[in-house]
Amino acid sequence: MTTLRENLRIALRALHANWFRGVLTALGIVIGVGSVITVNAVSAGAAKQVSESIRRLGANVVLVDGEFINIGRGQSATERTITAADVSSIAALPMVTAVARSQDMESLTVAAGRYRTTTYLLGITPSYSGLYNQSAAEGRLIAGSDVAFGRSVMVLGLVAADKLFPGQDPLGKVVRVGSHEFEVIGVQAKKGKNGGENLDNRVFVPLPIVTGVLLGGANTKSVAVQVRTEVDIGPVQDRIGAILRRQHNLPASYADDFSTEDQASTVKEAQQATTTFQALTFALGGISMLVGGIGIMNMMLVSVRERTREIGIRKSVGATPGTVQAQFLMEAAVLTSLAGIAGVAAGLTATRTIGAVLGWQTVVSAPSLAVAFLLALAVGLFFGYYPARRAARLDPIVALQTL
Amino acid sequence: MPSSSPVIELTDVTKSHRVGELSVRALDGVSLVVREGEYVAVTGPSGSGKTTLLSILGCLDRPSTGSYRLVGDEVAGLDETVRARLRGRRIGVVFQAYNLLPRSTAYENVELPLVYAGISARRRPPLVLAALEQVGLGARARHRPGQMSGGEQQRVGIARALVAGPALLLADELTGNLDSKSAGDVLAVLDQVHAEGTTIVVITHSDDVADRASRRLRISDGVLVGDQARDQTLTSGPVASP
Repeated sequence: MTTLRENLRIALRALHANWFRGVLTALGIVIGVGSVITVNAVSAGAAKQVSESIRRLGANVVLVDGEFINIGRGQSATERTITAADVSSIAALPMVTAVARSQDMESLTVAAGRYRTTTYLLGITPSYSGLYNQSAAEGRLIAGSDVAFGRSVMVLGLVAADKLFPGQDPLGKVVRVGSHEFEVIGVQAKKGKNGGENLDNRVFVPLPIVTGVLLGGANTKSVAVQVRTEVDIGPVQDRIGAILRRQHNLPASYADDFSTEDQASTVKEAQQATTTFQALTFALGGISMLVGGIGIMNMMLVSVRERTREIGIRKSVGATPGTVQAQFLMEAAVLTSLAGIAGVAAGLTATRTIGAVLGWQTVVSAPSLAVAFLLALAVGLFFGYYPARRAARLDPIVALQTL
Repeated sequence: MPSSSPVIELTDVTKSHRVGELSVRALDGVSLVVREGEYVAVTGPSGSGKTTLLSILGCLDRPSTGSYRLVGDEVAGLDETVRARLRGRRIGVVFQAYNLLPRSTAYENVELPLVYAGISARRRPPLVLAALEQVGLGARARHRPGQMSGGEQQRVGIARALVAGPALLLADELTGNLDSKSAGDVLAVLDQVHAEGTTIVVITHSDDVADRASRRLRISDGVLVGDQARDQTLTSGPVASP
């Protein structure tokens, strides 16, 4: 429409004439839009990290750890409380989809030729790979036959492989743990870090080697239990507790001789903290927008007062109240749209800076940019309405008499 | 010129302003017919109601009571939006203080009524340039008001008032801010506009201006007290209804 283009021209000209005032007024909107975009990018990055961690740790996995068996007043050095019968009872629970027994040895020194490294050794069964999304980058993983026959084979994490066999292909080579020798059958695909722990600095062997050979003793230390959905996690912990207490014949006054832990619980707590932080900063962004909007309203009121005579002239040559209102709404909308664009640029810059300086993972989504921009536009229209309405209602005779 | 159709028909128009508790009657029962092609001067002392009459004729204000027919259509009770459209299309007003937009060029000022009348951007330039030519400012289109003399600014005002082809040209003390040379130029333009057939009503207290009109009305205390065709003797008393 003719007047729409004319109004846009008037708006740009008016803003240009008072550009510094416009910039100062729009700063609130710029900051609001920028902070909304930045917070969204940072929290989306954190959420992505959390879901990756959950994937690495295994989704919906409860870890059951047995303690050392008490013998008289001391404790067995090797025997754990969780028996094969316990494991099969747990596996029989209706909400349980898989169980994986394991036994670990921390800070263990392993060697290959003249290279040695300190790593974390895990004795596992084939079901481990399903629960923990383990896959082979090279070779193969621990198989059922390795467990059944007690073969001395080993799968290396990427860090361990690099330390023991720098620049070489480790497949088929030999790794020594104490006096025991293992043949390398595979290398685990990259897992990354979980908190401070590097999940790639690990080595895996068949479970019976650890329980039977390296440590001695029969029962397993850990059982990872996977349930169907997240809501089963609490109930399954209760059911496992009841089963183990009964099968261990624990009197009511005795403490548990085992523990159950939701693997992803710490990650979920972090997620919740992130959500709170996100809500808080969105609120701050909103307040910034609100303050910015009030600034816009104030500026537009001043602008209407300064241009009362101009409004009178325009009305005297045929501008209707609707046209005048549209003119001032357009001015507010153009100002906040420009502020929105500047805010998007500021947000992207801040996001990139945070990513580069703090090393945080960030995810910028196109919808978040669009929403932030539209929010700025909406603020302009909302806070520009009242001043525009005032301009539209000016009596042309009174307006023309203004100096 | 008895048979040309009426442009303005005021019937018993009153206008009251509230001043605090008091109601001041600025116009008190004015009836008036101005026919197409007439050049009417309205004179009277300050506070006699001249400017109020012009505001009502220019659809800038509404009469308190009475009827105002503009080119046959009743406009007394119309709302602001419809009156704004009438101002843009049927009436051109020339102000004492020019009332040009200071940051816009002569061209843009003259273009304004066409923009608000919804004339497309393609059709505007010939109309704007023709209006500027008509007032002898074809070469000054790109100048801003600050770069022009008072007389030139007022001629831009006349071009703006004429550009949309109005049925009625109203002027309020249009030479009040001008020296006699510039005033002469502006009045010459008005004569020419009248010669081309535009109906003109000027409000003035200057005899130089009023003498050019073909008809002279006198207003006093909100009442028309004289109506005199040029080269006729003054008739006293209120004007008879049409």
